[in-house]
Amino acid sequence: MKVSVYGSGLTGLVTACALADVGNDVAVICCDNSNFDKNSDDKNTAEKLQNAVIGFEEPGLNQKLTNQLASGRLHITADVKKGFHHGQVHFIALSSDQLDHAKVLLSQLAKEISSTITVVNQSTFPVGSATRLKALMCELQEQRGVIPDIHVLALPSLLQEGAAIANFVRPQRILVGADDDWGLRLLTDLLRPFNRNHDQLIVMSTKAAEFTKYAINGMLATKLSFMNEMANLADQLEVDIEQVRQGVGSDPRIGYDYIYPGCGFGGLSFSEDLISLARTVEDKVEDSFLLKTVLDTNEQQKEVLFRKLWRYWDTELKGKTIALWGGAFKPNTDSIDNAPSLLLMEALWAQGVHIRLYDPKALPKFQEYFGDRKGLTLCASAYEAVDGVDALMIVTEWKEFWSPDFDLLGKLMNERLIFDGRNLFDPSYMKQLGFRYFGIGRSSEFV
Amino acid sequence: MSVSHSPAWLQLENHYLAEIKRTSLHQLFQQDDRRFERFSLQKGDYLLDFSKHRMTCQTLQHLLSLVEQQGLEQWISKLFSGDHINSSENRAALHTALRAPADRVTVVDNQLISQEIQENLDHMERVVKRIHTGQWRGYSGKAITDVVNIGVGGSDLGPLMACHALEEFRLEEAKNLRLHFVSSIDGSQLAEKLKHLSQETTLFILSSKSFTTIDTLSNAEAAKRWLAEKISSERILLNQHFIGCSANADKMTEMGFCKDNQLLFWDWVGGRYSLWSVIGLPIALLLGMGGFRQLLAGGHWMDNHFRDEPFDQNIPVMMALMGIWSSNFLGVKGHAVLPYDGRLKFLPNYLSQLEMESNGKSVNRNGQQVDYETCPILWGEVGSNAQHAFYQLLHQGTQPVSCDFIAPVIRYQQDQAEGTQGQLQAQQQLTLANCLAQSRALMLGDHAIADQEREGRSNDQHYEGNQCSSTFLMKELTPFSLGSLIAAYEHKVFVQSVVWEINPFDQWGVELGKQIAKETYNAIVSGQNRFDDSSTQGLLEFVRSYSSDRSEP
Repeated sequence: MKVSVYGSGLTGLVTACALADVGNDVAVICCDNSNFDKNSDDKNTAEKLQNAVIGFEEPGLNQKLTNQLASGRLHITADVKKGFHHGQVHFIALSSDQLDHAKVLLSQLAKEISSTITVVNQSTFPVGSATRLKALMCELQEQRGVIPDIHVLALPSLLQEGAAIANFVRPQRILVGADDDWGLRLLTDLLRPFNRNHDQLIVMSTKAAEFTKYAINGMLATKLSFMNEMANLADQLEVDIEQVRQGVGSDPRIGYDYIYPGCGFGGLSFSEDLISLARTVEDKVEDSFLLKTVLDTNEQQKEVLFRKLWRYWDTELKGKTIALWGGAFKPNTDSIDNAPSLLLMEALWAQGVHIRLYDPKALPKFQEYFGDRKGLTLCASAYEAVDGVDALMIVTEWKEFWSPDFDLLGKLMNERLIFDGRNLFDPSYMKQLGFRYFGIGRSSEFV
Repeated sequence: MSVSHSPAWLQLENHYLAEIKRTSLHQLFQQDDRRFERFSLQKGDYLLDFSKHRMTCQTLQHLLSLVEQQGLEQWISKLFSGDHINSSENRAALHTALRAPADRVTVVDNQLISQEIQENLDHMERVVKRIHTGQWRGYSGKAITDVVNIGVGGSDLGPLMACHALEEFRLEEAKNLRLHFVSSIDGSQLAEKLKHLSQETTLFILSSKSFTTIDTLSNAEAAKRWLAEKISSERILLNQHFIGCSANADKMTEMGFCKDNQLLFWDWVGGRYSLWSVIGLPIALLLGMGGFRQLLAGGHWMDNHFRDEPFDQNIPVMMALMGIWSSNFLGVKGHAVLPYDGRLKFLPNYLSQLEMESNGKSVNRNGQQVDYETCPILWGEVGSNAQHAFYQLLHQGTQPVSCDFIAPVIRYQQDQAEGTQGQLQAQQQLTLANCLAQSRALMLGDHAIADQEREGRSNDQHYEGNQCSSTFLMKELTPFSLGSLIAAYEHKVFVQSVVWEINPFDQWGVELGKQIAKETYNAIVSGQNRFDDSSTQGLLEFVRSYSSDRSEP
């Protein structure tokens, strides 16, 4: 089938590569910037993608892209008109704040094409967007005397950064929102190669599918925030939250997923979705009080390591130097969108702390974000970062942080002091090694 | 010679008896259809209408002769140049310097005060920014969410009035910051607040010019004890949870405030003129420094207007002269301040301190008893509410009263849902209609309605009218216009003090009570002292009878 995918972010590229891989003829249209008719940024992105250069980190995606470009089934362009005439199905994969952008794009599509149009929206837009987009397109066609045959479906992206390809090609479930049979049949056929083990398709109305996506993210965030709160209480009660987590997770009604306490969650698709649930769901829908609280709690949690340090040094942080391990909002990505590290660093700087930051992949993003900022040294390795510091803070649980050379750490650091936002180490072992160790809801002090 | 025996004064007295005594406002308006034109000033976005006072062009000429005779021009120049016009305390009164532009150089007593002013504004800006960015941390490391201003008198009324008035100009960065005001010595405001606040996220501003005010220090002590429930280190408690605003740096240091937490002003700023100084910190926390500087700029605009415009074109001078005319020649004993805008709810309280503490005096600058009236009793309320309360007395009572009507013209231009906005704008028009209608009714009485409507009414329904008022309109209420309004009243007070030959910048009258309160407190606590008047003694015994009850198990 001929498919056009609009948007060159994670969801767009993964979708395009996976569909090309199973034999479809796919065009990726780079149109992530507004004013896409004449935007040179989009042209640059397209040129880079033609050379398999992507602007973010995602394991395996680069290889996939190279392969599919070589196969000739994947084309890259910045010309939306080419996309309009290419695809039998049009996938919209824009970021969640680009609804207006999508409206302009689909309006042009409706003006350009007079035959049947099938649109699959993967972007996280407010609930009800699919039906509203369809109405907009139909109206435009009617105005120019065309009897519209337009189908708009919702295929909420459930991809997780770092595991996006596997999520797409071997999904645990596929959430499809469809308001008519024709569109549903077309999409079902397109997804057939990824739906072979057993029927993973869950079909509902577009509005219900859009809302399900919000509810899933809301629930996950709530679980995380709840566990973070338990960890903060455990700190006060001097109970090891790790033991509690295992006990809680063993209850099948709760399960082990998303109950690791930590120093806050981040990422665009996660928190932005939540925010838009609170803010932009259809008119006259009340805000979710619970989710707003969850988000506020998470913002507080992003500073939890700062608060531990603050109390440890009795508010006197001025002139200290701290190593920060990990800055990306989670491992295996270079994305720092909404990352806990950003708030933490601002808090430390405000008290006159110098930061030595190491992250395996995100350093260029920090360089771009902060520029040459006083109080920040970007370090090429984890050990370079801890050289001469008064304390180490672990913010992102990259694999290479799990088992460091503790002897070397101890020698390099001024003080054997670790604040661990991801609970990587064992408090009693750390105590044995002579470290003062503070995790989230656990500490060498409780041992 | 007392001013009341001066040529200009006697001329006014004679003029009153000959020309004004038997005329009414109704007649004056009938005789001259250009009164508004003659007796109003429109400057900038402000309009002062003083045509509803019982006077003629002749009156105004005599009043202008009076201020000239009293040397107003020289006094204004002394005020702005930092002469020690606060004679009893041998100090300058330089609140105008606080709102002068940053590049204005002012030297007083060989001190480059303009530089000190800017330094403290910069210090204030750092504090404000730290709080707005969430980087002022409480003892546990959480960001401050609640700021409690502890102060009384000028350290309370000004910031409270301005914060209430300018809430809709709240800075985005301050959207979650809650401001509270605590003043009364009995602790009742504080006790109630503390129930809803958390020690982790509450910061106290301790505002006191002298840093010895017992009311404020008592409340501060209660706040400290409340914080100490959670904070064991005195250093952390003070560094993270207290900011001092005072003219007494030594006292702040003595009490353990670190330099970073000391915001300074100077003895040449009177308490009731101090909202322009660091005492305005709560205002800056609400508006941001940009908004606070707008307030200052509005005040400065009025300073320039006051200093540079001829007296007959001068808003504060006209406000003052109408007051003099009413109090000293028409026999008015009460003056009502009636803002037609709920945001100005605390303006009457603020002005009652400004006017009554400044000019509520009965000796002149030479220490001689004056033989004329000085400041009238000043009170007020949001006009539209007061209509349902004390206006009855204004319309049909036996007291001659003068009034200031104050209102912004446009409001609710943005930030409202469409349906609500239309309604609120209609309510604004209704409010203005009431403002204009009341001053008209007070002026004309029954003459405000058609003759046939008046016929057949009983005496109970009779309105005498003839009550004088001024109306101050502004385009809209903003930090700038509020600044101008307050400065206009400050200068009005100053002009009146020049006419009355009194020092408006001291307040010895409040000291005696403070002194006696100390003795009385000891008497209550110790249960011993006796008083030589039977009333105090009787009251004391009643108090003691219950105090001792409580102390028994």
